[in-house]
Amino acid sequence: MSDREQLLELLGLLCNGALPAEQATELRARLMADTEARLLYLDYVDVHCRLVESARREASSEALDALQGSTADGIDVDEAINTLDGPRSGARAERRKRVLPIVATAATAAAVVFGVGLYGGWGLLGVDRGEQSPARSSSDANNRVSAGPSVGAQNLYVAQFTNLTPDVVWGESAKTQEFLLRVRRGDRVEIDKGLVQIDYYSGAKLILHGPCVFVPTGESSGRLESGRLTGNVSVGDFLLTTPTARVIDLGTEFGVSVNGIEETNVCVFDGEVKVESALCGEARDEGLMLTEGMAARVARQGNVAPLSGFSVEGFKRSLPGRSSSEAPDDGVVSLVELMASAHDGSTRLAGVIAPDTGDSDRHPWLRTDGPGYSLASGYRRTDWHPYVDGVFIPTESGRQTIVDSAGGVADLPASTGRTWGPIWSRKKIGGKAAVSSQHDYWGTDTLEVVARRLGDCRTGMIGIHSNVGVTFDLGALRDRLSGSPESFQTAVCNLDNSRTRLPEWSAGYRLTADVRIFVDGELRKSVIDFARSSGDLAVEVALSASDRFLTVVCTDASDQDRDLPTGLDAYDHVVLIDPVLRLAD
Amino acid sequence: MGAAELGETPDLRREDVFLTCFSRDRHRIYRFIFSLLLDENDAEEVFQQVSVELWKSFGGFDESREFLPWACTVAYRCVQRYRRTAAKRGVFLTDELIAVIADERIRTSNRSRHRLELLEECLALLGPRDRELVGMVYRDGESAGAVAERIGKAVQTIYNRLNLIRRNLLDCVNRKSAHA
Repeated sequence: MSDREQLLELLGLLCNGALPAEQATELRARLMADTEARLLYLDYVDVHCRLVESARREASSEALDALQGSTADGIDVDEAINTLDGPRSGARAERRKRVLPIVATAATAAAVVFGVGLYGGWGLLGVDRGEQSPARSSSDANNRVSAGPSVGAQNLYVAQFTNLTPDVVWGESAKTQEFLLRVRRGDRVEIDKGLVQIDYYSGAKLILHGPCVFVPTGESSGRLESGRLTGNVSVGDFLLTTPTARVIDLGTEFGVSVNGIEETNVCVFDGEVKVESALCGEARDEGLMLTEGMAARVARQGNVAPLSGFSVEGFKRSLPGRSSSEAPDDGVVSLVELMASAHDGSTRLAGVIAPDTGDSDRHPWLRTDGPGYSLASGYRRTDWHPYVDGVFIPTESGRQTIVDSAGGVADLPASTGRTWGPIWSRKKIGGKAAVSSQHDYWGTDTLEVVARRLGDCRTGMIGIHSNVGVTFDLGALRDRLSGSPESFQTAVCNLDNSRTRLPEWSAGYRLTADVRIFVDGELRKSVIDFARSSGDLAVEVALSASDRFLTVVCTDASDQDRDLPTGLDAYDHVVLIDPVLRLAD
Repeated sequence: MGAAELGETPDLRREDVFLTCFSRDRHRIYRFIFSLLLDENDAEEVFQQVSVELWKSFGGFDESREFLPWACTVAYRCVQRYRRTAAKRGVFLTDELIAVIADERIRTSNRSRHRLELLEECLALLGPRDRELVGMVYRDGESAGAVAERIGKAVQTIYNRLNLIRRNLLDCVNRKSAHA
């Protein structure tokens, strides 16, 4: 580790409040002795301080809003604090009490005289000096990133449907199922027939056996109301509740069936499971620990009893499915399938990547105002993904955009430096198993059209609303498949639905997008300025055995160059239809 | 920039001169204090004292000189006084080290001004998840342990993420600074 790295590590500990005494002594000595170390200290602490300020400004801004909304008769600061904090933690309320006086009274004698506070600016006394503070800039940026509730919020996605059998018949719940097949805590999953695999982001994998009703209740928990399921939990613990039982999986494979409210049967295929009665009070049974081959029944009255000779025949422990690392029979590899791959190479029904972080995306989509904007934040590697090298949102200038992890760069047209929603892939699911809610919103009710077009696909589609790029690692593909792609083929299409949904608005604009294909940073193909009316546009790019990174970039067709209003990145609902890599013989 | 360079007319009231200088530099004064105390509550308290002190001392300020270095000198005195009266606070930096750091900060004030502007640009690029985590830890006052428990992660994961956020911002500023 270099000196600088060591120093940064110490500074990280210092700012986290976790610097041990011995290392504190070391850090002091280095700061005393070295000018460069002191500069790094100041730069690092500035960043830390700015993050503190950013959070405090947000808090004081909310407080100001509350105060400015009060009547002229007087301001009850405590009431304002209580209103703001609502049911939140006491820690936050306490913090607010420390911040609010600074804003409300401008904190200092000087500030009281002149109406200046550290966070409150000029606004409180109604003086507008026209100052555009840094806080305002970042606040505006915040507003643009309308990602909605995220970690910890009630509507957070906790799992995703990843596989199913062709005979699946969904119950009523399918009408509101998210297009990308993600499931929030509290969503009711009803399956009338067939098998559906649901994978938690925390690592648990469940196979729901229709007919059944299941409700995910948290990051690592769920409630089986009726029917049966099998579970495989390789990471951490998982809590499954039923009307009569609490099944605590301690890292294992198990099966559970619920016969209405009468009884719950639990069997263990591998590992260890604790079974308890769901009843409370003195009548509650102690419960049982089950290991491989054991079974137990929890009766309606709450008593837990071992079961001998319990048949596990009806429990399916795996679903038929192809690993994305298996060579295809027809020499054609679907990019939809590659993008939907999990970290272990297993394929899923849909893939979702956040373009500003490279993480598996869990931002809400099912909202009345859509998935929200994400801002350019550099090239984001997706190390967790077996085939996607990374993603990016081009900056406003577009110049020298890094497009792959090897540092390949490309000059892209100027854009708004932001994108709308995730990069997604969705497999076509045929017959009665089709799940395509129209409740989701990708803008101008475009999902209507997307779902219809998906039905006509062979394999599925990838959604890339401008402005965004995604890079596939052809090297990783070669390593896994022992075959080399000789061409990339797809059709690009702009499925924007504004002509139907917003005819008056769209009449005044030319709503078009560009798609560019790069290989190792070299432009190989462009599809420029296409709209919904352009239909499907075929794209083919020849590839050689030495090509490593395939990048697809969608931008908003440089509307600014055509004297159109700036910021017109809306209405670029671009999809890649049946994108494939054809392997050499 | 000195107060005299602001282009004010001779009849501009002295309060307005102070107000202009103070409002322009108040965040940088706060950061100066923060870098010597490393605790936001302590820094806020001292900032309030410094604001009063600056106004009271402004009569002796030579307007042909730069405001910020003068304000930092006043702030440095307030930090020393605060540390004496609140002996347990700010235990990491010694008096000797504080003097060296303060000197470095004043000496490189133009460099830091430029970098702070770049930092604003970088901050706007912070992803929503990172922004959320920063909010939980810094705004809501939750400890890393409490946040970790609430979102089902290890405490070290939270620390690592915070470190990464700061490192990414630092790298972003360095990159922009190199291209500027």
